[in-house]
Amino acid sequence: MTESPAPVTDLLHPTLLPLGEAALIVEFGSTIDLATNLRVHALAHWLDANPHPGYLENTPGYATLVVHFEPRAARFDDIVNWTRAGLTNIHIEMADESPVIEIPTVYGGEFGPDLSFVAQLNRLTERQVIEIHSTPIYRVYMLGFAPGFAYLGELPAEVAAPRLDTPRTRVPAGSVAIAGRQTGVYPRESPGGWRLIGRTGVRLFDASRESPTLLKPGGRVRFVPV
Amino acid sequence: MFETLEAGFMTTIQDGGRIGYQKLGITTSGALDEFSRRCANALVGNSREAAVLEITASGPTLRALSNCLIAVTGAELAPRVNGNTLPTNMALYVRPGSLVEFAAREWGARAYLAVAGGFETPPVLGSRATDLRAGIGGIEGRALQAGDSLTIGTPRGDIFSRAGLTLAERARIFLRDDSPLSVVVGPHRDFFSDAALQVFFGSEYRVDEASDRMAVRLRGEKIERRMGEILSCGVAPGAIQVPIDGQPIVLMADRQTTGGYPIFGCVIRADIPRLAQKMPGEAMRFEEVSLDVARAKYLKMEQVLEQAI
Repeated sequence: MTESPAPVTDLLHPTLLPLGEAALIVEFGSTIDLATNLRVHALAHWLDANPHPGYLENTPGYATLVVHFEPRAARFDDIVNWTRAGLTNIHIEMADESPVIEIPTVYGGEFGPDLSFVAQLNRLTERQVIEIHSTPIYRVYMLGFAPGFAYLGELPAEVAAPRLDTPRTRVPAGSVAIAGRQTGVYPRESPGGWRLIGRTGVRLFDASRESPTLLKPGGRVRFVPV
Repeated sequence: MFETLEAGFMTTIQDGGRIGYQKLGITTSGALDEFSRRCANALVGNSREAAVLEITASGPTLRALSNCLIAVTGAELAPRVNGNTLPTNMALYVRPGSLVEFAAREWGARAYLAVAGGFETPPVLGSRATDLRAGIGGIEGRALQAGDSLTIGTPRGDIFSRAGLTLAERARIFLRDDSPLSVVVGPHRDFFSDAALQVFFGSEYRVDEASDRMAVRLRGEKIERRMGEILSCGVAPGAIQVPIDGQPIVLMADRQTTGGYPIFGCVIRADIPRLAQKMPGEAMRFEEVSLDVARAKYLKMEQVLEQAI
């Protein structure tokens, strides 16, 4: 019981398991990859568009979807059957094609204290790191950790960098950051272990807005150097 | 309206929680002991959704500035009105100028004070629940402070006729049960051996001081698990996470919406209220139940609530 089993990804036959008696978890796999994640979002959107009695909401993960429901209004088996119906009706071509959200970013200097580390680690100049980081259109794999905190991928391997050994106790709000092959933005000041390469003034979370987070699961994002 | 003279240790406005935003990283919050919150609302004739005060261990001192009907449920914190004992689990009429306070903790961790009409703070994303970490809901996203004025909504029906109403026996005794807390095992069952399961279900665990509205941290026999993490995924209230140190963490109302630790199982909804009433240092045991039993206990809890008055 010491080794991890080999990662499994079965997009067509995910595992459906209870998460307590008021939630179901759909497990597509155990790797971070775009095809799996698009399927998570396609299923989430289908469930929202075709709600079952008792359905409350869903929580997307990299390769999983948690479906929350009210047990008085539905049995676990009802939710399973409804979710399976969704699985047969979705395609990853249903990916979110809403407009790409642009995040104006000031890179480096006091706003990106780890930019030089990332550059040196990858034998690049800071300018090259900025160019590589700001070129792709990223997908929002999921949100979590804090309101509006989006895990974006896939970061080009050339600028990947590990987390800090010891997290900072205070990461400024709007910090644009890297961890492994992911990138993201801290919506509020918080502790954090990601490498900080820039800062944005855009508000990622505002509870007074009808749509309280700028970034949504499955959405697309690009960083724009300013 | 109520005026706050003293805030108490951790007093927050809570309702049934903020539903629909977990996908955006916004947690549900809401009362830790939802059973007691709903009982308090039922006593004063409020709708189920009405916001109450969740009072932790050491309670606030409030002055009523209007006629109102109140009820206190959950933990026994020796509530008083103008120095006289205020019975819990009962609706009581309070005159303007009355002082409501909590003299001592006798049992439990969280008490709920409902007022007919509900506490009216501005709803945020459909809920009045306070999310302390996000800084939204309740009173400006924070705990009660001395000097806060608490506005009350319009009561449903005549408050005088409800004074003296008490909880039905089955509701009254619901929390006073020392039986093990029921757990549905999974979904990350493959991280744990059969022996680890036996250890968990055979041991006593105590609430650690570091517990709060986000999670109850437990101290006890280490739950052996294999190395590796899970990809971050959604969670549920009652989910029991097991980090590498093997000390279980039970997620509660203010949990982060996703997590990367394997989930051993989930405390069933019907047993979360009893868990929420445990103070640091207090002990508990767990037993495994099937999904069917978990659902049956949930339905039974709902029945007790429906027949609570």
